[in-house]
Amino acid sequence: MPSYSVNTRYTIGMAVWMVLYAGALVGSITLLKNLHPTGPLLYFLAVLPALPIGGTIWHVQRHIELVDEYVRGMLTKRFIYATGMTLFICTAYGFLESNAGLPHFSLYLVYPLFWTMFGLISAILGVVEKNA
Amino acid sequence: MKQYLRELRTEKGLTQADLATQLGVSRQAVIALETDKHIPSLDLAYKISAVFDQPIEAIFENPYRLKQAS
Repeated sequence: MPSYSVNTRYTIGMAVWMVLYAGALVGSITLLKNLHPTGPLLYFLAVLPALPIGGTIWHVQRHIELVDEYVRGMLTKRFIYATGMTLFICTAYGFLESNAGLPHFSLYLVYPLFWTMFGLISAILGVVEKNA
Repeated sequence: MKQYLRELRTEKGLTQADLATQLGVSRQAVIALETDKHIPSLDLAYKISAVFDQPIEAIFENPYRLKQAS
């Protein structure tokens, strides 16, 4: 087996999890539509697309453990800030939804929101750290 | 923390990539060390010390020792 760099392994792993996600999503929708399952099978098929998403989170955590201490520190800081921002936005929007009648925010969107926050925070910290 | 990593590396004729390979870290980490953007862990400091065959305090100035002297 060829020895890939940590970053290449991360990219390959992420691509694999995304392919699994697409497969699980299509499979879940198709089977729910055609089988009209009930009971445990319904719950299993309903939650199926979320499992590879959990896989991507595990993969990111594993990547953070494998990189060197400098990159680990950078990624961990960004991950914590992005988590904090996501928690704050979701909580604030929950109150806005309940008290001000804003449209419903689907929980599916929490995951992409997290990565949007991660990207935004990475860009801001990149500029801040460059000028420090 | 004042450090002499860049000077020691160039004296030894190493590129940042060479040093990164010898230390088992990314080139990004070497750049961060040389520009004072990262204070190394004790483990990494020992690795750097071994690569240059110098005591840690000859590479990274001990700011607490300086305070005591003044």
